[in-house]
Amino acid sequence: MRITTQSIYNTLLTGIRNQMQIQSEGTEQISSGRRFSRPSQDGVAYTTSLNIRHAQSGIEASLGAINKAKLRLGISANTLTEIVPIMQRAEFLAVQQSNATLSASQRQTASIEVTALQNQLISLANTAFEGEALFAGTATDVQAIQIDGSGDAIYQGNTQDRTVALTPAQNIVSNVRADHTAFTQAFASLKSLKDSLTANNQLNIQASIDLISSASNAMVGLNAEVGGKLSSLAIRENTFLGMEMQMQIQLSQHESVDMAEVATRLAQSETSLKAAYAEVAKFNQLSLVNFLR
Amino acid sequence: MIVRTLQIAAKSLATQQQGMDTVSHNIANVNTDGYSRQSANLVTAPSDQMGLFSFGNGVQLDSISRSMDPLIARAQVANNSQASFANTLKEGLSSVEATFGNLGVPGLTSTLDAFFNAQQLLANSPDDPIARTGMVARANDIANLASSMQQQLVARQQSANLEVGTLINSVNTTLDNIADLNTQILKKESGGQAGSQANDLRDRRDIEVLKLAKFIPVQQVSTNDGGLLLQTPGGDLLVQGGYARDLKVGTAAGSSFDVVQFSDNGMTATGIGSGGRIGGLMTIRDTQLADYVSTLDSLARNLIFSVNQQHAGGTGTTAVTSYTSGLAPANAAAPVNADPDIPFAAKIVDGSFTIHVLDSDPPTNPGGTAVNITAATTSLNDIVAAIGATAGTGIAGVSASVNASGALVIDGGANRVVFSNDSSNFLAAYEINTFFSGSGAADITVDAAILSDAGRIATATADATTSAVAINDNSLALSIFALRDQALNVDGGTPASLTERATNLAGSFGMDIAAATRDSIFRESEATTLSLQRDSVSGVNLDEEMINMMTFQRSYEAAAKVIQTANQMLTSLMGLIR
Repeated sequence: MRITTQSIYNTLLTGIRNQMQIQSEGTEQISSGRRFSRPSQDGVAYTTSLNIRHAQSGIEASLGAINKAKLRLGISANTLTEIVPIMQRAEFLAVQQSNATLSASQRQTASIEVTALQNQLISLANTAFEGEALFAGTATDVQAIQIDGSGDAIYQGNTQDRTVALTPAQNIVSNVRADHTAFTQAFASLKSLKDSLTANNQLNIQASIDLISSASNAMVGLNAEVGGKLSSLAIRENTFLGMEMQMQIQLSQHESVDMAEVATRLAQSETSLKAAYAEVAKFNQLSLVNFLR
Repeated sequence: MIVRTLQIAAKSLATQQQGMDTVSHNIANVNTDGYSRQSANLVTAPSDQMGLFSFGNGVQLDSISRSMDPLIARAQVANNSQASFANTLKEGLSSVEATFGNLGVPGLTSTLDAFFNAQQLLANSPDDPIARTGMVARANDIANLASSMQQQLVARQQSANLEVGTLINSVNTTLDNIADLNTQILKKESGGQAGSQANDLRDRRDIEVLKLAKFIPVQQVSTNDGGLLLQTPGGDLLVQGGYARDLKVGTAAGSSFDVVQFSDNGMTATGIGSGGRIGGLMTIRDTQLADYVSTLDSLARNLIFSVNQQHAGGTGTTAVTSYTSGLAPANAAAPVNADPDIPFAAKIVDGSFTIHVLDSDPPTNPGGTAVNITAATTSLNDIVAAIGATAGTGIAGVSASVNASGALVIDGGANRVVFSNDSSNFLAAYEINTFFSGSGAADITVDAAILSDAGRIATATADATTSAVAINDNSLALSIFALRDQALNVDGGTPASLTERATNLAGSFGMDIAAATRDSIFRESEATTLSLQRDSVSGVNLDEEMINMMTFQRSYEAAAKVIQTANQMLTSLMGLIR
């Protein structure tokens, strides 16, 4: 093939341009730490990155939702825990007051304490967290329990549970409602005890012992149910944390640049570039014109 | 005979000098783009017959020819056109890369994620004002990003369209130049004398054709008389001899962009879009950018309508007493599903929506009242009549009217009004109690009422039996959040989630630009190879020219020596006479 001076210079220039392109890409990869940053660098890999990041974003949001549910259920569990000693004290009073030797005035005195216990129970049932009624379902702007004229506890909330969305397809109930049997039994049993004490009716006081005991058990059961939900949430949280870690590893493996490989490529390119520059300088002197004197 | 020797030597001197002229011309043009090296072709001069013998008459210049390979030249023209096409695609796509964002800055996918994460937060705390404000901010982000991307892509389409118009002027100038050179070449070569090739003019014409190929794809046919016929890939004549057909840009039916037409008859130039910069600009404008705009628009339409479909049947923490539709139909008496001014009118189907009027606790009409819609017959006026144009004529505690702008107003006076169960899609289509306004990426915005009061973001639904609205009911918010991973196809086509659509958009762009870059690299490589091949035939090699120069120099010196010797012979001869 016939070679011209111009074609040799053009070949050298093309080579220099290619090496400078390698230098530019390598420098960008090293400075960003990523194999690619823009869709133009690798469309398929970029799409995979977006999918991993989308999944990561969803997991982070799910972890936030779990915390919200844990907080709400945790406060509910604490409140329920406070109810149990009330029921125990009521049961103790019922057993004590069922003794046939006690007088009406003594039972009247005991009824005052039972009223206080009743008020404590109502107060706990109407617990508000962050300004929202905890046990009123989604009607958090009303008090869960009100006492009517005959002294019965009336549930004021609604029957809709407060759900927390963990993912678009997974919702969990994050509340306990005061229309639950445990609450109903607790209110009814305390009212029964109070009425029996006021009426100085020993038989009814004895009957109240069973009612209070049953309500107390139901309350403990409800508390255990909330505890179970919290445990379930903890398991889900661990699952999400594990997924988050996996996603982080996957993203890192997918996007991170192999520094050693890029550095080697840059060094090779640098050598080629230097050789090309030297060749340009050297070739300039290799012409018959320089030898014709 | 000595005089004859002198004449032969003198002719040789002149011929060698012409050879030197050619060498000098080559050396002078060593760096001239498109120059083809020329060679002086020497032949023996016609001999003289004297008696029995034929006496040679020395040397003479037969022709000055240029070294070029027409196959390589044609390949260069074709490759130039394709390289320019590929480069234009690559440059055009690179210029919109910033529109798609990168892994370091928020893009469409991450902004959608942020939108749905905010919706999840709101669903989990419906009465939290901060969650509501956050939701408005994230919704604004996605609306702004979608419309900004759409504007940038359309602006690039428009700039490509403008550039086509500008380049057409250069194409016309080049076509005129080629026609003019055709005329000059024909004139110069028409003498019929051997060796009268217009080498430099042909080089200049080749350069002009290469230049033309950078703009548009061309097919060339050489004619016997030295002329050149150029046509489009579709066979439309561009240049024939000294005649050039000018091009212009004109409008095409059904498109807002220009097409390339012939100035003389207004017909579209066929095949222009298949190569060259103009072809590249038209392709990126009508194919890639148009696809991105269409995909983005589809994503926005799915987002707008799917969210609105859910949102219209819910309520927020603000007690709203009056609603005005965001859109006004062209004709309130025409069926609601066929109005040209309602972008989503076609989505209205047979069904109903329920109006709950919370006039007291419990309300007069617990469970609300359904307004039935038969898509093909019910008009806006019918809906007004069904709700009641005046109090007491339709649904208790609420009235409906069409205002001066033609919009539907549903007014409960002092009563809170809540909608639910919009199975007809009427509320969503007419933008009544909707989250977004607009019909696509170009005009998507967050509803003005929500922008001014985040409490209007619907999170709850009215109870189907009692019409009661619980402050922390999140059933509506959950149904909007559920859209995150749902495959949607509001505007037909393949169902895909919003995130998939956004990811696919970035992926398609990446794939397109990668293909354009690969094609561009391939074409550049081919151009380099063809350039080397052309140089090997047509390029000037200075070493060769130096050798040629020495050859002619030595021949010139030898001819001079012949003259000197002949002169001495003549002197000797004259000496005999003296």
